This record gives sequence, C-alpha cells and structure tokens, in this order.
Amino acid sequence: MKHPYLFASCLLGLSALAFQSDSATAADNAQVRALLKTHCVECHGADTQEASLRLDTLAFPSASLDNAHVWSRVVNAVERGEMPPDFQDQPTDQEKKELVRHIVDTVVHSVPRPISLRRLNRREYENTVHDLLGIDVPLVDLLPEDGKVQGFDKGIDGLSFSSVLLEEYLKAANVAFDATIRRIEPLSPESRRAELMQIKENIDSVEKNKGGVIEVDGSLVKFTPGWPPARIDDAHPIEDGVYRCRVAIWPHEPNDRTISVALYVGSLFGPDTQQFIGIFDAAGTPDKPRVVEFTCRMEAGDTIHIVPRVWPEHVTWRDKHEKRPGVGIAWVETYGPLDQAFPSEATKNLFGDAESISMKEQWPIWMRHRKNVKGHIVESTQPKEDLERMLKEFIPRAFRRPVSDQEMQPFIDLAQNRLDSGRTFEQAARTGVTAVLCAPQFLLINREPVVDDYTIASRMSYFLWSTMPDGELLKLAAAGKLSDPAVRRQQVDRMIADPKIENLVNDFTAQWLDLRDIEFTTPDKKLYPEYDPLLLEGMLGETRHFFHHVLEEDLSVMNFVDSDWTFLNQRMAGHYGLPKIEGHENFQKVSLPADSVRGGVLTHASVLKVTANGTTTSPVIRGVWVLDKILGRPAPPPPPGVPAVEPDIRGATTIREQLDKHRSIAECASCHKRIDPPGFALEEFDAIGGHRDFYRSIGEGEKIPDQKSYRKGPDVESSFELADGREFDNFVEFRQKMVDDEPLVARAIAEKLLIYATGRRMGLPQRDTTNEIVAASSKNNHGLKSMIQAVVESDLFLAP
Amino acid sequence: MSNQLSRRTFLRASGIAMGLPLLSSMAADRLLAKDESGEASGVRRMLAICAPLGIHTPNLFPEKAGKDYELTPYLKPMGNLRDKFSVISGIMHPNVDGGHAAEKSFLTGAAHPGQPSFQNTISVDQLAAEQLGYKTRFGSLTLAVDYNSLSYTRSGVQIPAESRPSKLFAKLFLEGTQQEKEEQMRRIEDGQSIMDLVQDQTKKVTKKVGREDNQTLDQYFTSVRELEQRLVQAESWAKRPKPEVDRKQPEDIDDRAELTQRLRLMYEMIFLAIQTDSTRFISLIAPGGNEVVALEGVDDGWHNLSHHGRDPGKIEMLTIIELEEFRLFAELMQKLEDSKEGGRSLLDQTAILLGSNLGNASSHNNTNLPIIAAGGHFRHGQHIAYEEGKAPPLCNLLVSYLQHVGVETDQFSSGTGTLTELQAI
Repeated sequence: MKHPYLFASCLLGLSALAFQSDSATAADNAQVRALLKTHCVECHGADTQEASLRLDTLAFPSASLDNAHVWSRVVNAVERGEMPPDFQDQPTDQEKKELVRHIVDTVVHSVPRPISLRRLNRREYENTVHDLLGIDVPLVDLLPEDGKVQGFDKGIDGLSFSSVLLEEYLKAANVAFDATIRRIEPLSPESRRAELMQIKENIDSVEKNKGGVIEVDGSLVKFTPGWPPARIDDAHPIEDGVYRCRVAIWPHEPNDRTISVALYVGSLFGPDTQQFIGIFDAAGTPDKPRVVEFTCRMEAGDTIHIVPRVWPEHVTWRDKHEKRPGVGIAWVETYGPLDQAFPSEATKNLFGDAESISMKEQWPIWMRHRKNVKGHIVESTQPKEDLERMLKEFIPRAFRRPVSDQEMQPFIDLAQNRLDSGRTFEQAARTGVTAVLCAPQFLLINREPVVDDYTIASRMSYFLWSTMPDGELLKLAAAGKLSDPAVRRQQVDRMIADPKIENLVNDFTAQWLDLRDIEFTTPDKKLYPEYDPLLLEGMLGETRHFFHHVLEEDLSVMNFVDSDWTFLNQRMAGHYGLPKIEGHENFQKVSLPADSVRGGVLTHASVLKVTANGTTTSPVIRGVWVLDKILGRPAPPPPPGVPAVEPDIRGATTIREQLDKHRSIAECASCHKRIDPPGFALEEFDAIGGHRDFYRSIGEGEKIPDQKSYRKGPDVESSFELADGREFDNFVEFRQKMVDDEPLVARAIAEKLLIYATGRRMGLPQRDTTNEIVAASSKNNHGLKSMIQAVVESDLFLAP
Repeated sequence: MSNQLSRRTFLRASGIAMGLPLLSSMAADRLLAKDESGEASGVRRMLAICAPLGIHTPNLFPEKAGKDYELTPYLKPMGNLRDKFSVISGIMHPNVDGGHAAEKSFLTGAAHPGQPSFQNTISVDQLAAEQLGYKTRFGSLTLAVDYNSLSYTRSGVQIPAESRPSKLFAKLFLEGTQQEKEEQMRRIEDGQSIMDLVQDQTKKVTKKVGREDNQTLDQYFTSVRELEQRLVQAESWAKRPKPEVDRKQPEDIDDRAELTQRLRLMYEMIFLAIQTDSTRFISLIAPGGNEVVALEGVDDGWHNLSHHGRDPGKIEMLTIIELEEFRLFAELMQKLEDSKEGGRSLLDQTAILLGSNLGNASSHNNTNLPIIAAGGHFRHGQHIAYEEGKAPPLCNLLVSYLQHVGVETDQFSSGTGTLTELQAI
C-alpha cells in the first residue's frame, strides 16, 4: 500500500503545477479583450447584441460564475471560421489561434475541477452484481432509468440518488441474493426431444392450415413469423437450469434465398421477456437438417421460439410464379440441467466451501413432474463464525479493494445481531449481503480521496467493461503496478481483446450513436413495405461489427465518417443494392465498390433509422444529430414560440421548401445555417437507410410499376453549402468536406470517449486534455484503440 | 449499536405520530376516507394522465371559447359531465421541447428535456406526496399502461411505474399468507437495520473524501434517511389490515393491441385506489406504442398513425383510437361522479389532469398542448382558450392543483401562481 500514496502525491503535485500565477491570467485577459474589441464588439457590444451576445463586458468564468459555455460558443465560432462574418475585418490565423489559446487558458484556470465520485449506473450495477455473485438474473429493469449527461449515463450529475432508488437497491439485492441459492436438488441431466410432427398442436395446425403451415417429410414448415407458434412441448425443461439446446432446421423452397430463423428462449405465451439467441441460417434437407446448437439458462416450461426470417418477402398473390418459401423444423432437443452442483456454484462462492455449511430441507414444493420435492435453505453449524468468515471474504471483493477489519466489523455485527434476534443463518446472511450491496463503498466509484492503484483498476474496468475489475487487474493493483503507464497500456490491450469488450461496443454505440432507441419507431408499412425484422437485426449487426473492427484493428476514427469497407450480411447487402453475400447469420467485412455511396456511420441504415421517425426524415433532426455526435458541437434548443415544421407525406411539398421558409426567420438562421447542411445532405437517405432520388408519397405522384403502396413524390435535393461557405452538390461531396474536417471530428470523438470514461462534463476547460488525446492518437492515424490508450493516460482519467 | 437502536425507536415512534393520524379513526371495513378533522368530504386528491403519442387537437379543441362552446368529437363522450371539466387550449410548458422527450417534463416543467445534459426536477405528484403522502398507505402511485413513468423525485430520478394491474391489486388489497406477511415484516425490519448501517457508512465515506458539500454523498445521505422513515411507516401500515374490495385479483392482459380492456382495467384499479383512499396522488402514463390497436377500422401501428403527415386515412384511424381513449376516460369520470364520499362525489374530491406533452404529434412540437382539467374543487364547464404564446405556463395549473390538495405554495417549477381562469371553489 505504499506505492499508491507515492503515486497519488505525484498526481497532486502535477495538478498544483497546472495552476498558473494570477498575473499571467490577467495578461491573457487583456489580450482577449483587445482582440474582441477589434473584431467582435461592433455587433456584440454595447449598441447591438447579435445572437443576444455581448462580448465587451462578458466576464470570465469563476467559481461563482459558471459561464464557460458562453465562452465555448465564442471559441467554436472563431475556430470554425463562422465568425467574424465575411464583411468584417478578419483576424489572421495566428491571431485566431492566440485568441482561442488565451480564452481556453483563462477558463481552465478559473474553474475548479469537481471530483469524479459517482454511483454505478444500472447496467454497471447489474454487471458488477453478476460478476460478484456468479449469477445471471436480470436486474437492470428493477432499477429506475439513469439520467444522462452530455448524452451518456456515466455522468456524475445524471447519476443522482433518491430514497426511491435506494429502495429498489434493497429489492435488487434481495433478488440477487435469492439467485445465488438453488432451492431444490437438480435432477440428473436428461435429453428431451420434440419431433415436431408428433405434437398434437402442430398436427392440428397443419390439419386446419393455421397460418398456412404444412407438413413436409415429417417436418413442420412455417412461412411467417406469426401465429401459430411451432410447438416443442416435449422438449421443454421440467426444472430451472442451464440447458444445451439443439434445433434442426432446413430451408423449404428457398429459390435463391437463404432462409433463416430467429431463435428466442422464454415462456410460451407470456409477455415480452424472451431472450434473443440469434439469427441462424437453415441448411440441409428434411433428412439431414442443419442442427443449430446453443447453451442457455431456461426456466421450467420455457420454450424455444423458432421464428422464420424469409427475405425477400414472398407475397402469395403477387409472386405466383414462385413456390412459397418457408422454414422446415424437424426436431428440437434440450439436454440438462448441465449445472449439477448442489449447493450451486454461486452458493459455494458466497458462503464458502466449508464443512459447517449445508443445504437443509425445509418446506415441500409442488412440482408438476416431480414428487416429494423439498425446498432447501442454507444452514450452518457455526453460524456466527460462518457469517464473519463469509463477509470478510465477500466485502473486499464487493468494495473492489482491501478493506480493514475495522471497516468490516459493522457489517459483521449487523448480520450477527440479526442472528441474535432470532433470524436463521440464511436470513442473517441475506441482511449482511444486502447491507454490503447498499453500502456507499459498493455503489460508488472514485470514492477515495486519492487515486491509488485500486481506483485506477476500477476506472479502467468500468470504462472498458462496464463492470468490476477482474482478478488480474486487482492483482496488478495489489502489486502497485497500475501506476506504471506501460502496464496500463498492456492492460488496455488485454481488455480490448477480452470478450467483455462487447459491453463497450454495445453500450458506447447504444449511446453515442443512439442505437438504444432503434426500436422506438416502426417504419410505415405503406411507405416502406420492404422493412422487416431481419433488416432491423442487420442494421444493428452492421454498426456493432463496424465499431468493433475499428477498435480491434486500431483503425482511424475517420472511418466513422468515411470508409471503403463495412460489415454486411445477405439482408443488408440487398438493402444497400450491393453484390450478394451468402447468409444472414454471419456478417462479413466487404470492400465497398468505388461507386457506392456507402461508407462511414452516416450511411449506416441503423443511424439513418434512429434519426428518422419511421414515416418521414427531418433534416433538422439529422442535422442536429450530426452536429452533436460527429462534430461535437450540439445545437442549442430552438427559441420559444417558433412553430415546428410539420411533415407532409401527401406529396405536395418537400421538407426542404418548408425549411427554406423557416431559415428566413432571422433568429432561426444562426443555428439553422449549421443544422441544415448535414440534414440536407442526408436527405438522400430514407427513413430505413435506403438511398433515394425521390421521396415516397402515399398521396400525389406518379405511379411506380409493381408498386402498389406508394408513389413517386418530389425529387430529393441534397446540395447546399456549409456554414463556412463551402458548397456541396450531394451527400458524397458533403462527406468529403467532413473528412477534410478531420481535426474537428477527431476531437469530437475523443470528447465522447472522455465523457464515457471519466463521467465528467466536457467543455472549454477540458479542451487541452482533449487536444492532447487527439495529438497522441494522431501518431497512429487517429486510431480508435490509440485514442482509448491516450484517454487512459490522460490527466483527467487519473485525476481525483 | 445501542445508540442507533434508540434513534430508530425514536423514529418509529415519531413516524407513527406524524405518519398515521388516521390510525384510531379507521377500521378495516370502512372504505371512505376522512381528513384530520374527521370530515370525509374534505379529502383532496390529484390524478394526472399523459397520452404519450399526443391527442389530435382538431378533434378536441372547440372553436368557441368560454361557457357555451360546442362539444367536439373527443368531448362528446363526456357531454353528461360538462360542468365537471374544462378544456384548455393554447397552453404549454415554457422551454419544454424535444418532442417525445418532453414527456419527462409533463409533470415537472423542467426545461429542455431533449438536451444531452437534461436534469429533471420533482414532479407535482411527488411534491404533494412528500408533504401529504403520509396520510395514506401509499404516499403516491406511479402507474403506466405500457411502460415509462411520469413521476420524478427531487433529485430527478424517475420512479419506476407499476404497469401490471394484478400486482397493483395485490399491493393495494391482498393480505398475503401468514408466512408472506411474516417475511415482509422481517424484510422491513432488516431493511431498517441495513439503512442504519448504510447511514453510518455514508458519513464515514463523506468524512474520508473530505468534501462535505459533495452532491452525490449528500443525496445519498438524505435518501437513506428518507427511506428509513418510509420503512418505519411501512412497518406500521403492514400491521394494519388492507381495505377489502368487492373484486377478485384481475388477470393482466398482455396483448398490447387490446387497448380497451387494458386501459379500462387500469382505470378500474385507479378508481379502487381512490375509493379506498389507498393513496391521494396518482400519475399514469397512458398507452401508446407501435402496436396495431384492435379496434374496428384500424390497421396500422399507433405510433405510425400519430406521425400522420396529414394523410387523411391515417388521421381517420388515429381518431378511432383516440376517441376510444376519451370514451374510457369519460367512463372513469362517471364512476367517480357516482361515488360519494362524505357529502361530495369522488370526482369533486379529485383534481384530474388529462393531456399530452405533444401539441401536434405529427410535427412533434410541444406547444398548444391538449389539456383537460376535470374534477376537484373548481368551477368547470368552459373552454379556456389562450392565444398561443400568451398563455400562462402550464405549471400554473399544477400550482392550482397543489393548492387544491392542500400544499401551501404559490409556485411550482415554471408556475408563478394559480391558473386564474380556473376558479377554485
């Protein structure tokens, strides 16, 4: 424990150095004032205050005046050449740089840095409790939704406490505790097999041709995802546990399609609590079907939902020349429970594998398929000693650092006191464990006054894995090695190669690119008849694979703006009009042809869908999105009293005509000249990410051959000019301009990573740190992994 | 430990003293509530409902303002109760924008919910419950037909809503077996001990961090104390029998397409909660998702229909759905009107807000919100038509409601006074 203190005092020394003397700041101020006077105060001064901004008297931020965001507007406008306007005397580039430099310096030194103490968000909570107790019971939905700061649920201000939250923590801890104890002795593993055409419900469905299902060579053939479900009752497990599942499927009349299924596990008729297993391509024949195999936790009576995914869609009345394609399901098998331990592994893990601990028979449990089953509780022959032993083992793991006996004693006292007041051993243990899971040392991170190796271990782990540090990180922390940058670098490499990095890929893309909201709207059936669930699953697949690949290979973050490759499956390649790829199950990296408009996340159907509302696209919403997510400069909310643009899909007016009117209102123009350009460029893409020349209309417009549900509406116009005057003719040219803005994009992405990694608000005072990260990663072509390495090296990441 | 125990004993004692003034005056079989003075007709309540996908206002807002407005299609089902509600047009929450995001601010009025760093504030029902919630078994009920929630704590934490009528019913009216009751008592008692310990730990951590003013730790500490008090109250309520109602535990209707049954069932639960005085403050987020609602003439998803883009076919289907919502709301109003409490109807005792955070769902704007104010001690029967942009903040209506339930305040969030056009009686 000596090393951490040494390291921490170094850090404190560094931050002390960062504060310059007051005289230097005063000099900066004078220079800033002079430059503002020459170039800005004519419009932003005593006489006129364009954009409600007065610069001659604008005070610099201080501990009592938090106006850094106003200065940040000034810096952004100057730096990006939007101000001063053309008709004004322009400052030289050197002057601009100095102005920005001075403002940033002044702001940095005037605002104290808050400490980074925060609570776990609910996903981190679930992951941590799972890792800690070795369980997988869902907990996220028991907790209220977390607030966001600058778009991420990692921020100190968004993660507030309330008695409501605390009450839910109490409940969640109880659910977690229950999940560690297996109440009944498991049966020995058994195979259960369902031959689909021996099940009476399926036979009945075929006889009555429900949902069009038929029998072919002993298999049930299903054509649509809808009712009736393919019944596999004979394969349902009769008790809870982990099962190996096998599903035999083959394609029926596929023509040149790949026929696939989506598999879900859950109750047969219950509400939407099904676990998505994946998309699988059917193959083989009725005699030799493909056998899909997976392992998962199932409850007694759970079924496997086998849902056909057929694309292109076959419409019986239209595609008369083609036999109807479907999926043949021959048989399904489950084998388990595979987890045979009793007491369960989780029980042993928590209570310890001691002689004194045993499972004691309690109350009888009624089960449909078993007789004389007894529920068990955990019992101990030396309860007091066992409570002390288990809590002493549990608490340091839960608090993610060594804990003194003195600090542990109150928890042990509590549990033992419960025992004294008549609780059973298990009830007393429950109270002790619940107290630990509600304690600030568990729920808070960065709660230590100094940043030691253990704090660093937790920061790295919650950044990259959204969960507690693993054994190796904690071992390195114990040895005082995480203070060494070289060791941290190795660890980041190791952590990125670990499967747990999926937490970063999914969570970061869910929030940075808003993929969390992708199911918020369902595209209009008439306007987008080609939309199907396979497309939705494909959209998410493309972007996640894309991000993962950029990360793993340390590719430039500029790939998010433009790339000559992407990841596709058959459905997505078809959607984009690209050469065919075999299968929906696996995504392949493909090189994009030179004439393809695709490349970069702005052309990903996922992003184009989350920025549309299902029916229409709005240049405003997409423009605001690009400004925030890619350029790192969110637009302020619209001024009060301005009517919003109302979409019109009757085909008479385009959104662009409506917006031109909007932009002619002076108070709208200052922001819309930044918002509209990316928005207009992206009008080339429809609400599901298809590339388009014209809007689809369900009212006026020319008929389109073979298309009954929509007509040809007005043409799309995507040319425009950027706020700084650069013109573009179409999306591809617009994208090139963004590529030219590499420094801005790289900084925006570095900022997002910093918000996510540190939970701190990013603004002008953090500008230097961000720039250092961008500079460090530029040695590796702004590689994403390099950028993450630089984040972990940064002063902000290591600050108290 | 002994020190802590004695403090808890004190808390428990004071909890009963402050929390349960009705204890002696209530018996298990009584359904009617009484306020402190023993006068049942003085009990005041508040129910707030938000329709997340908007309400097509051309079908709602009358042309004429004032008393002799014409009944519009959506108001027709409530025609019998014309004197018991007011329809308000032209009003909004100032600075509340962001389309669907504005739902978060419907009962809080917090500015700019769509911004990446939005921080919410306390919702009106929670503010009332904070002060007056101790009078009933449940300080407030936060409900949803599908998902989401309208209620937020002082620190801006969203309170998870109960969306399953079966669970709500069990919570309100089912006693549970002896074993379950004992388990519940044990959990409450142990919960209190845990909070004692956590409170101590939080103090220690705060001291160690050395930042007494740290917001997170401060909230943590306050939350622990509040929960401790709530557990004390829960303990006393747990010892008292729950009210009995003449109904079996309902079965949940999982199919979201069954709008009529689902919404009606939730309204029935709300009615029972009010009738038994189980709570006085209820928030409900009404249904609205992608489902194709099972009503004759509707064959497109509800959310899509709300994005009608002025397509007449879509508006027609949307009207069918929304009319059904209003019909069910009228049913609830009628039931409340028909039930008496003291000398008044339950409707007169309950100030109801039905509205939406969306003024025009198709353009997703948050101005000119559709608002119905019903019930409570107010002079109703009018169309209060504000000129857009010149209306007082919607929070003024919430101030009126706070005063109605007995919270002494003349401001709430952006509200600066009561809504003067809605006269209290």
